[in-house]
Amino acid sequence: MRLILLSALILVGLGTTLYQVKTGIDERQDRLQRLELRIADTKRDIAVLEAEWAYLSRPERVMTLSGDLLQMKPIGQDRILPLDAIPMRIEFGQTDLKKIVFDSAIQPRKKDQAE
Amino acid sequence: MNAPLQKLRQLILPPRPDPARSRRIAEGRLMIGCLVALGIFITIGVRIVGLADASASTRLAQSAAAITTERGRILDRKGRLLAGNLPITVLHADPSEIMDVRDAAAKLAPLLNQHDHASLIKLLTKKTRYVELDRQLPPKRHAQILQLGIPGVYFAKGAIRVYPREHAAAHILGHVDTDNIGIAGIEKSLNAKLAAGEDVTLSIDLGLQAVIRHEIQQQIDSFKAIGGAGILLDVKSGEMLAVASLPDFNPNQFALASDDMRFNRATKGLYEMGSTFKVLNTAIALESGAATTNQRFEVSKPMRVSRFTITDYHPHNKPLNVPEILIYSSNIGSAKMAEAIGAETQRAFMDKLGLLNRLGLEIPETSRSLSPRSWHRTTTVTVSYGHGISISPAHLASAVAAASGNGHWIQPTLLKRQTGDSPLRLRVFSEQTARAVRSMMRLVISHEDGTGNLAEARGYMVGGKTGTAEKIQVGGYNKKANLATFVATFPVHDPRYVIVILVDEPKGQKHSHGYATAGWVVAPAIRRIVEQIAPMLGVLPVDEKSPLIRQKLLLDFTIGNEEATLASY
Repeated sequence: MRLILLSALILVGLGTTLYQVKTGIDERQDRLQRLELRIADTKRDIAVLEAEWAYLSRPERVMTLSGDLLQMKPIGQDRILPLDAIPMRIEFGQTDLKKIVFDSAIQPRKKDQAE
Repeated sequence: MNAPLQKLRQLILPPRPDPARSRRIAEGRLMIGCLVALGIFITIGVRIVGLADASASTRLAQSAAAITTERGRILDRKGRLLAGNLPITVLHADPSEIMDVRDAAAKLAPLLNQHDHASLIKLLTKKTRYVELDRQLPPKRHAQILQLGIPGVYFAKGAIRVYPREHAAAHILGHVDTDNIGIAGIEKSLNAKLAAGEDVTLSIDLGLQAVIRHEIQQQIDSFKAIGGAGILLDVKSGEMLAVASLPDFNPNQFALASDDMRFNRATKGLYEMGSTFKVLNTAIALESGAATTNQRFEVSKPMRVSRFTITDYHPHNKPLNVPEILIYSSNIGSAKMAEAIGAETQRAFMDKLGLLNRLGLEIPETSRSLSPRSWHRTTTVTVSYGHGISISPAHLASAVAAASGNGHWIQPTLLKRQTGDSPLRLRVFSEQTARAVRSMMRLVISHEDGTGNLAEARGYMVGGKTGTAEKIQVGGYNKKANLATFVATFPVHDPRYVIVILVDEPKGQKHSHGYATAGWVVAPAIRRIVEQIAPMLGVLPVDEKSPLIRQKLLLDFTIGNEEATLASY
């Protein structure tokens, strides 16, 4: 009799534990699924935004916009120099440097007026 | 008192049982009750476990269905998106579950674009369990239909293929059908890889592609041409950085594109390339030893080969040397050189340059070139100036890359090469030959008598060759329909890129003084293209007169009466 009672108790205990484990797994699985769905949703959103960015940044559009709104032209070959063609160190006295800065600030303006 | 009661009891009730026996009976009943209770509990327990398990497995199946593998994207060489997927909602219904068809149709009709009341009734009374009502349901409509709460109407998530760059590289990308299976271009040839969710990176650079497409379109418009094609090839790796074919189409509206728009002129179109072949002829002559650079050929009289008479556009009274033949684009001179080369050798070189076969590219839209089966004398002669053999612009680009690059023919590709890739590489010409060829190509543009002067992009050392061929029609050539081709390479002192531009049937205009030749139609586009793409490619302008540049070129030519000076501007 005692044996039966004991085994019944153990059985009930096992059943409860099993049930709790199962519901625990369920809960976790739900969380996992929610997370996976959220990841999938975010990925979709990223895909949409990427496509939109790609559409808006297509070269034809940028070309037309820059042609209409900016006064930009292809760079002339006389405006491109390799880095080593630029003198890196200039040694001037204080006054000379001022003069050069002043001159270079003035010069393009003169040219603009001439044009 | 007890005795009479005892007697009375014995009269009414049965005799009192043995206490030991009744205890046994009670125990037995208790045991049965226990077992029944235990049985019930076990059944409930098993059911609970079973149910919990079942709900978990169905849920897993659902989530797996929600996250299906999306088709891989197609990217350009710098990782910019060329083809991607957009999520869509598919509205579908199960007609057997719809209780009131008329009511459902009336409610749905104003919310759907593709169906009206009558067609909905027809759809919803079908004897199937699945009808598709809308393939691309906007989110707002989705919410509205959800609120109607019609039983039997379902939503499914799907993906639609989009090409956000529209026309750019449309021919290379290709297209997919409604089931997302590739039916053209890269989408078709790499369908298995894309369907498995892998991204594909092309050799194409979107920026370069846009420049080349734009400039060809401009020439087509200003010369009222019917079409054009352009290729930019990296000489060192064989990667195609730009492949344009015009007119092109918007792959997002593939159904609206005509066959002419869908046709890929750059890789599938076959054309007699005309004088651009003289570049190859010169290279073959030098390589095979049939001619040396300063050897002269008599070009004063027209040349008869069976029923053809070969003439020059500008006749020359004195014999021309090899560079002069290229610069003045002399047909007679080229023909004489070809005769010195011989049919067998010429054919073998054409084969090595891949001009007799299909060009193995990663798209299905390629063609096998058209060449005569038996290589007669007439073939040898006409091939020297680009007739009697029809090839695609892609063929021409890869052959000229071999002749003017460093002499290697490299298998061209539309996919970005990974570090460590070793493409098929065949030595066809010696470096010396290639150097001579590109120095001569430079003179075509820089020499004052060259046919390609308008292609001069100062500082970028462009070399090239024009080709204006009459188009073939039934029974001969059409004198009015031209094909203007230009093949260019730059920078000549350190060959890195080959450009082939082709304009189909340009018409002479006032601004070109009535000319519709390659020198007028295509050369200006080459100049504009080089000026725009050189900074993008990191090619720095150089001073042509500097000794460093000059020693990289072959200069011992005599052009006209003077020593050739490559820097003739």
